[in-house]
Amino acid sequence: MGRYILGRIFAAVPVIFMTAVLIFVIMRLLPGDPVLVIAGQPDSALDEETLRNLREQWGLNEPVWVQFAIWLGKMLTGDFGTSFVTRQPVTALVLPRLGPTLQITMMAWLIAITIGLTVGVVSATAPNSRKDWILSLGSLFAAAVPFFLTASLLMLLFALQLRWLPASGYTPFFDDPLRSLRSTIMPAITLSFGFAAVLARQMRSSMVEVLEQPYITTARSKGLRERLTISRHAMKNAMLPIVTILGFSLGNLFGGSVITERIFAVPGMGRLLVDSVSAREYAVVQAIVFIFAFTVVAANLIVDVLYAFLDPRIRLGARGGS
Amino acid sequence: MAASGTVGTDRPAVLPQIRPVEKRRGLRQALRRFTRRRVVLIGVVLVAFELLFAIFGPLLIPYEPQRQDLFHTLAPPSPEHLLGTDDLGRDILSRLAHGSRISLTIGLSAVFAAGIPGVLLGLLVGYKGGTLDNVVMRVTDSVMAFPSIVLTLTIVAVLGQGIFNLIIAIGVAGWPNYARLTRGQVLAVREYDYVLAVRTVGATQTRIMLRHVLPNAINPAIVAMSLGVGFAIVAESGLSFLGLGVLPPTPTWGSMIQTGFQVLEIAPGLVMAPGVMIFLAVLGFNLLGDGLREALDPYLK
Repeated sequence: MGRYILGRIFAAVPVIFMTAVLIFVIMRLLPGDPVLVIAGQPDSALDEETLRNLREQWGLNEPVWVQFAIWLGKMLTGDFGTSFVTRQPVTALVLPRLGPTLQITMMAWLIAITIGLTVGVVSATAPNSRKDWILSLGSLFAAAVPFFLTASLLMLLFALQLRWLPASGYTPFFDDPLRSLRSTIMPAITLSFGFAAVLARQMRSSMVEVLEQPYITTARSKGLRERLTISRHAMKNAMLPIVTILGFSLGNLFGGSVITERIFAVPGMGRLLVDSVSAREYAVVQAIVFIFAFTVVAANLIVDVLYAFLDPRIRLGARGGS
Repeated sequence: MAASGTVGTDRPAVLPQIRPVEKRRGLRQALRRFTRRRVVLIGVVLVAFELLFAIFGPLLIPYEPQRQDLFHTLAPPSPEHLLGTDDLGRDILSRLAHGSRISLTIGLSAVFAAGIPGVLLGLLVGYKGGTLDNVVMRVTDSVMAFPSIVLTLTIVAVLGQGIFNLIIAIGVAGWPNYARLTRGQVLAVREYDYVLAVRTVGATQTRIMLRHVLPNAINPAIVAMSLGVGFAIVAESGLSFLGLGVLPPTPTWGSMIQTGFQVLEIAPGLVMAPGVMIFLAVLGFNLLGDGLREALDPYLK
């Protein structure tokens, strides 16, 4: 068990390292002097003194691999440099944006899991029935609906017609939980649709497979009610492939938040990323990209560890990890 | 074989007989599996509709997509303007048709930009193995750790905006998937006896990989490419919506939607029309992908 977890952690380290290399390379590929690029001012308005200080600060006088090491060390300790537009530390710019993004992605995650798993299980209990057919078609559609369509329909109905919800903006959760939920429910639903569809399809096929297992027949033949057979016996095994998707999904949700935050004018990380790209605030861009990638790798690591707890075959090493 | 007699009356009977029996049966079976599910046919119809609209729409609609008519802005649908006009009085249907050309071109090209290098690299490292394989797989792991739209827009920030750069950016974010899928297949295929047989008669490695291993390892990538068109279309519309994709005034689905959200209450059609086009395109290519999966790999569900 311990060895398995350690192994997973060691497998995650090179991935984090490579993501850092990629970001470093992309940032260095930006046309122009790295200092000016980092400063976000391609046609330098900075004097020679400032430039020298900047080169010193970012270690740009060192060999490239030393630069990379310094840069990575700073990133890992949460020092993402200074914004040259607002003269604030990047961390101070990014931190307040974490809340909205986390809140929306977490809400979307929960909504998707609730809908997706329910639909999947209901479909699987009556495979190829009319109910199953309708639900499957529904998930097929939901997987293809772009954020724009869901968002505009929700906005038109709940914000502009019924006036139940604010069309845009964000209220921090700890200021006013209820208003906060009202301001995030539409972005969260928008974000959850596609993921719910993926979960529903995966849950259905995984549950159908489990329900054909002999131990389910045993449970049924001893007279156990169908509801209990599913919740007590089938669910556990059917959930295994789902757990893997839950980890991978985080990246998609982060990606989607870039769009939904723009649609609903939520001041989150995605919004900041887009604004920073437009404003050439590359120090902020690399910070956000790194945080996203780091979180995704960490989530996958957690899933791998969780998997070991759920599946004794892995814990006991019967199935060799790849 | 009863069919061959009837076929022979309107088509040269030699044609089907040239092919080896096995292959012909395989193709026909694949085609039958492909068309077995009716939803797959819906996918074919949707994709055909999208392509026809993009190809012929701009020829049939009498309005220039760029021509402004500031006296008739945000007009509701009417016989002259079937979908109404946008905030600058431009015909929405016309912009939709021209936008479809660009969005679909980007979607399809980006899939090839990701798929061809991805498949070839997967083939190479899967066949050769060793350190190269390890390194490439770690690279794919880390590229896949980035949310794809985040990676795409970072690359666009480096390359600059525009249609070609967008294709490259979406391609760069997409190749690892194809590389991994192909590599996985190649690992199995390279162990087959027939590969050993080809090697013993002295075929070059390039020839073995391209002629003998690739055809048996490419199916999952083909399925993924069909699904990938949907992803690429969504990525393009997302970036153009954010103002980081194709530059205005060139119409694409995403840039139309960007304008649309500003006038959502007055003219919801400006978001809905391209939104529905994206929906139908993604649905169509997804269904096509499902059909291909069943046709090409009957054992995989």
